[in-house]
Amino acid sequence: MNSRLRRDVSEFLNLYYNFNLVDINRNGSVILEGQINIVDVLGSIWDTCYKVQILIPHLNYPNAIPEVKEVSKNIKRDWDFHISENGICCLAIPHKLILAERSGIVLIKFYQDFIYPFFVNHQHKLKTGKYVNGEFEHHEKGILQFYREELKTNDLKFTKKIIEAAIGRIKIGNNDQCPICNTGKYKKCCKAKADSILKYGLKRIKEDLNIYEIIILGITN
Amino acid sequence: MDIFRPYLNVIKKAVNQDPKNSNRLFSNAPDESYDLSYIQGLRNELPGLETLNESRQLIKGLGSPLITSLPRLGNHPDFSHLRSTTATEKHWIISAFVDVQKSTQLHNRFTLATVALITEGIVKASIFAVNLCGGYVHRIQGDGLMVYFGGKNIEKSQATKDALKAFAMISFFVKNDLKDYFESNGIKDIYTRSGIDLGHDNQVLWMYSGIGESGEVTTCSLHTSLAPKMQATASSNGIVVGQYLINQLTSVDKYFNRKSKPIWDYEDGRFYDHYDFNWERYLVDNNFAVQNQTGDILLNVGYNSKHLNPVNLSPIAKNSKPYFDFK
Repeated sequence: MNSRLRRDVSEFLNLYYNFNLVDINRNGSVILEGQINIVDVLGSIWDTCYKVQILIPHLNYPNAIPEVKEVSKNIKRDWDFHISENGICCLAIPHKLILAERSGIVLIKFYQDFIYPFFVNHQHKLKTGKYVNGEFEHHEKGILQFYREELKTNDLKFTKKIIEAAIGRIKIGNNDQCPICNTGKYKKCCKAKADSILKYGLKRIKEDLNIYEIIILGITN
Repeated sequence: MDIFRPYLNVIKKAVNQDPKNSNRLFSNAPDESYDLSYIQGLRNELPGLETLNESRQLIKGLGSPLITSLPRLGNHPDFSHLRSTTATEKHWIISAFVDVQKSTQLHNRFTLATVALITEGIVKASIFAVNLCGGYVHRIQGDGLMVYFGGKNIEKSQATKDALKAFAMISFFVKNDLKDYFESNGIKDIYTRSGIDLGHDNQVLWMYSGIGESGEVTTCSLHTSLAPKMQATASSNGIVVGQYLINQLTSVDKYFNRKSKPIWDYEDGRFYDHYDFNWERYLVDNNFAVQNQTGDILLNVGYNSKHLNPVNLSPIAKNSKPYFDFK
């Protein structure tokens, strides 16, 4: 365990008394186990609590993303609850997690920003039938939805071109006519959008491009 | 609802209505110039036995016997036969002291009647917690209490857990509910300090101390005397406990830190140790409290989760937008 991980785990355990260290190194991860109680913003305590394991990878920490396993089975094992058969919680769209990973996480902040809200949102879904801020569709459709919201467009081909420009598959000079929408210089047109998705990393957006190519090909055929 | 909320609500009303506090920037008028007749009404709002019984039933179940009256001070029910006699009896007991520190600053801010009501609120809340946990209030000293846990019909280990739970709850009340409210009104550094120790059968002598009616059934014990010494070494909102007390528990590493200097030197080569008690961890670990998103502690004892509204989940839940990508 590197010193940063050791420090973060120690600070986490000194703040959240319901969590214990159960394994320092199981398959390359630190395992913490504990209970999450739902307390709303008025300080009201909700009935359901969740027993969870947090698996924090040693490798590259703090540039790593913990995995959360819900072991109390208080979340129905169903796609609609964004949980796998063995309890792994899909906390967020990968792009948001990649951002956290790239900037380096602090365990306490990751818990407060991603883990705790996931379980509070589950309570909200149980009581109201929906997640507060909506949810992403499953699998590839969720990726399309992410770009649709991020780039504010429903145009699959446009999005594909933005991704291609971002990864450099289309070479475009700043002062060239924008080849994506032909409405002016690239630097004043789509460059900002292409640059904005680069923060998710080349590896991720190449995977996304692959999804777009398959889907567009399917529609064309 | 938090079991201390009724006490806090009365204290809040007293602070909000206090004329000296609201006029302090404009007037130095003496208390006599204000109409303080509302104080009596507020005193009557402080919870009594009914609330204690409601909380007991929430915790112990509807079948738990109702408390019709609390035992008088200085007269532990299991040793009351010693009253006004010269007889003595040896029996183990847990002695505990708590008081509120820096409360004198309240006099600069509020009328005497308000200070008295705040003190009464704190004392009553503490008596409530002690009785809820099966303890016995032996003496009231201003805003402090001397308390016994234990007697003839209880195991030491259970009395130990009761004492830790009661004092953790009192510390929680002052550290969280009360302090937050006082700080928002410009009063800083109000906190408790507590000391708890256990004396075994051969170390505690029960006796009646005093003349005629002017006396109390009390203990003579090194460990009753050490408890206030431990209290004096406690940090803000701290609880310090003696070695014999923690010997009654099976899991101690998580909750207790030995202080570097022993509290007592027997002058025969032996020393008696005392420990800082991590009562917040103890409350959470034993399901007497829960933690919110940021780790703040909320008391769960006797909590009744009524009037829950999903709207109040939204500000936290909105940060989550889940996805599913498992095959």
